[in-house]
Amino acid sequence: MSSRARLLLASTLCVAAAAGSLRFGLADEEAPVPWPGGTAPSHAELQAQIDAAEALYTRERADEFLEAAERGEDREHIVVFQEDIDAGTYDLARLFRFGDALFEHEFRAEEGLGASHQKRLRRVHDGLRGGLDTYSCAGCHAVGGTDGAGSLTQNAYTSGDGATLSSTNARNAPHVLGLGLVQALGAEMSRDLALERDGAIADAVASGAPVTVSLESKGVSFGALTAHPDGTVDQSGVEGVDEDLVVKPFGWKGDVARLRRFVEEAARIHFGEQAHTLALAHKDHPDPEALGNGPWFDPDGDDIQRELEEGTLTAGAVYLAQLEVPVILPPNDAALRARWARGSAQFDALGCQTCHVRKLRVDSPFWDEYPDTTGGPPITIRLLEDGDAPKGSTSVELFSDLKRHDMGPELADGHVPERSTIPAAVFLTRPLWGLAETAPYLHDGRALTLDEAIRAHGGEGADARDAYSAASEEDRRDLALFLLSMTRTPRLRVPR
Amino acid sequence: MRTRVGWSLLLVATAIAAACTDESLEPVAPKSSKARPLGMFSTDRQTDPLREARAALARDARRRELRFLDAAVPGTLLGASRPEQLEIESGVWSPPDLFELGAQLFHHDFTRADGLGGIDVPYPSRLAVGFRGDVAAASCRTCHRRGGIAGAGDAADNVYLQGDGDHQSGTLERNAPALAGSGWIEIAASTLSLDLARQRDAAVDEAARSGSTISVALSSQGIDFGTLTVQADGSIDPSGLEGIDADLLVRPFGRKGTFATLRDVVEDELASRLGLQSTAFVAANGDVAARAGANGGDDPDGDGVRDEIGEGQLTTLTLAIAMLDTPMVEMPDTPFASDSMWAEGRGRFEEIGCAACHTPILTVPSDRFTLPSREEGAAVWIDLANDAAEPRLSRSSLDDALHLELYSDLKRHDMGDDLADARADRGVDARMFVTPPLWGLARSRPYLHDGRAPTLHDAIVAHGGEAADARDRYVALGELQQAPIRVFLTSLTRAPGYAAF
Repeated sequence: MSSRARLLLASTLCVAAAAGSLRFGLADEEAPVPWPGGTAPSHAELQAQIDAAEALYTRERADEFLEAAERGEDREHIVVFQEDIDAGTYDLARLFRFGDALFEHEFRAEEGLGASHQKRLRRVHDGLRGGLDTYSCAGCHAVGGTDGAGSLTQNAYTSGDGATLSSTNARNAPHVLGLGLVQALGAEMSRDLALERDGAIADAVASGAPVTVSLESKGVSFGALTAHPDGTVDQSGVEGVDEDLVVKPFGWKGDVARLRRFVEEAARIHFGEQAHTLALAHKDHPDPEALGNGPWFDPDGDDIQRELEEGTLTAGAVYLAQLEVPVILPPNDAALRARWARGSAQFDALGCQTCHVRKLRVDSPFWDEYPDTTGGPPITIRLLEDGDAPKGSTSVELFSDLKRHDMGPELADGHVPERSTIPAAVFLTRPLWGLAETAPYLHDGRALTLDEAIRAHGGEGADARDAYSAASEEDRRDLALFLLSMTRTPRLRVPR
Repeated sequence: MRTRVGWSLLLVATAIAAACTDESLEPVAPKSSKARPLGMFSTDRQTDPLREARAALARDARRRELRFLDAAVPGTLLGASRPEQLEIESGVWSPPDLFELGAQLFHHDFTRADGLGGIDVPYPSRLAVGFRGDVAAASCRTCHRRGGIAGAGDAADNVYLQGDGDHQSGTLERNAPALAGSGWIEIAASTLSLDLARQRDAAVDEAARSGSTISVALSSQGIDFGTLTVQADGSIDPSGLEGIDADLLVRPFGRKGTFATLRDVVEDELASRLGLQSTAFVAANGDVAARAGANGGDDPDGDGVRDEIGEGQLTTLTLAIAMLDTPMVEMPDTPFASDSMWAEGRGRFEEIGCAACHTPILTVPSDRFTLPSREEGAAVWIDLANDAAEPRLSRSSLDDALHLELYSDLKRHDMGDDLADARADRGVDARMFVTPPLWGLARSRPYLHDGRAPTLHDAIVAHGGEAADARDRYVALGELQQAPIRVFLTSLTRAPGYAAF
């Protein structure tokens, strides 16, 4: 570098910063690096990151060449028979790699991509059949890193007329980190609510008088129900959960309880990959509207059977349950960190935490993943140990109550899809963990900034929104600083 | 030693140069803008993995901290990415600085307050409305994201052009190409254009001198562009031309080959994909409502933001894209795909006729990527062989020439009915597409103009029209003989490097 260039750099040092003396623009040897957490990665940490990144790249690159040399070889990475899982053929790490491969796998026609009538990509979904959005999960879950969120271009336009965007409900892909704990939290909450209901029924039958109980789990209220002596239940007071009292933490509307069902549904509506489990159910209870008019073993009529094995769904669910959890990384600069702390207080003071409950405690950090049809034994996952770090703790910093709320007419979907009972304006409280890496925000990606996202809240979120609007600009910025600290652990990758 | 950019005719620069004898004492024109390279991007690569890993993580750390700073002091990031054109022309920014400034802009998430979208086509508008465009993203990076900085888009990132904003059918579907190597592509195109113009001018002279009609076969670097017929009076009949417009300008950018320069395509993409109307765009199109919005004046899209993209920003953005690393060949190193298999595939690529359009090598005389001033100022240039991001192309040790392993003739071809668009696009027939360069191919999935091909095999067999014969020969080879071709194609990639997020 010429001495003149050096001179130039010296004059570019300071970013005008009200917050402090941040200095950028120098090579990192010369200027302090604002390391998250305050300290630079150690030699050993760097080496570990390098090893992981290199190993992944080498493996994926070899797989690319293998597929080039032996077409169809990629498929080997995602075909998992449930019978083999049941027999104990694969350990948890192996299942994780199968699931990882599934997430990256780019489906193609000879694997069942699309349907007999749908060979070309199509963004506007056709009712229950879905569309043909892209070739892989990773295609839309990429913002902020692997297993991340989707950009607006990656929105899915669901339950439409197959022709016009205006007929659809737009959906922005959320990140898929930490879902093992979310799934477990939902199941525990469902169990609590069922016990409360069953207890009320038993009490009503025993006492011969109606019994009203408030439904509550992990500090979250789901309203109340009244059991009658004849065993019937009046659920008109139930809030934020379906009549079956099953908390369904997946999907923007909160309509899926299990990761394996989520994988199954996403593959079907985004790629036209119909899991064999769907075909088996279709055999007994035909559902041509959702699956197609083909024979039971090939409902979408593209001459490909068993497009996704049951074991592949298991691998997908086991993979998702073992991903890292998001983390909170405050600013490095002391002045910014003070503002971040004030923002955290604002989050509570303004009422955000009413629905975006900071922490939910998971009682048992284990998950048993059962097969659907084989009756085999479950795969047990230790949610705080197995798979990618970091794992967090039993106190899950989710920033959600996993409950549905009315968000007001402005945020409401254009229509209620066929077979759905969830009103257009009702959505599950979106967990905020990892938020900073998920722009754009809200279910349809309409909000480019956190400020827009907050101000778009209505319905049950209107009071907190009004409090936010009434707050000083300084307070609002502090809150934004806090929200931007909800992120994921920095990770080294070789981009692919 | 780095070379400077754009020191040239500007009076300030000349005066400074005249006044200074010692480089170290040379004063520098003041930076009037708040633009600053923020340390989030770099043209350099450390050879030591530990240092490079640390540098990548440090860049990510700065990104995170600057995001906080931008929340505390809104406008910090965009302000730091808005140099003045005059500053650039006067040479106050070094090539690495310019790359950083442009890369900052490429990765900036624009907001409505920054001018994203317009009142008639607001964010979010997923399907384009006519030539006004769409606003389905908030940054260049949204769609150019795969396989490294300014990479390719997934099929999910496809854009749908020239529709009614509601129906997908009837739109022209486009997949975002990877941008690495774009600077070299422009240099190659202008090299061909210059050669063709020379041939035309010679024919005009010859026709005038001989007093008769002259027909010349136009050809440059072995690429045939049909024939040009020139009358004695200098009038030209372009009807015999092939794969190029009557002006003989090679237009390598856009799937249809509709842009000759990177700056033009960047400016058009900003306006049509993001609703970010540059000062020059407004000057050229501001009164064309179907193109810019009906609000007129200096804010045709009516969003209350003027000068949404300054000339200096357009310059840095264009330069940063031009300065991206050069795609490279990464040989297979696996038991099932060997060097000899690669060599077999490389040979067969030529034998079956792929190379007829996917011309393996174009040679250029200069590594200089130049942006002529549009405001009567000085030209700005980058010498890519010295200052592009690493790894960068350098002169051949054998013949001291610059050989681009581009695998394209940068010419338009009829690709047949199956690949054809629903209709013509800006005067280019529905079946015609420019040969996409294959360098960097492995990092640009999915393939073809609309991303319809998830694999190389799918992409090859989808070829039709002028490529039908080569496709048929590929199909006839059978699986075992096809495989080496795909192995060779898979070796065309971008240099792996570390990124952190």
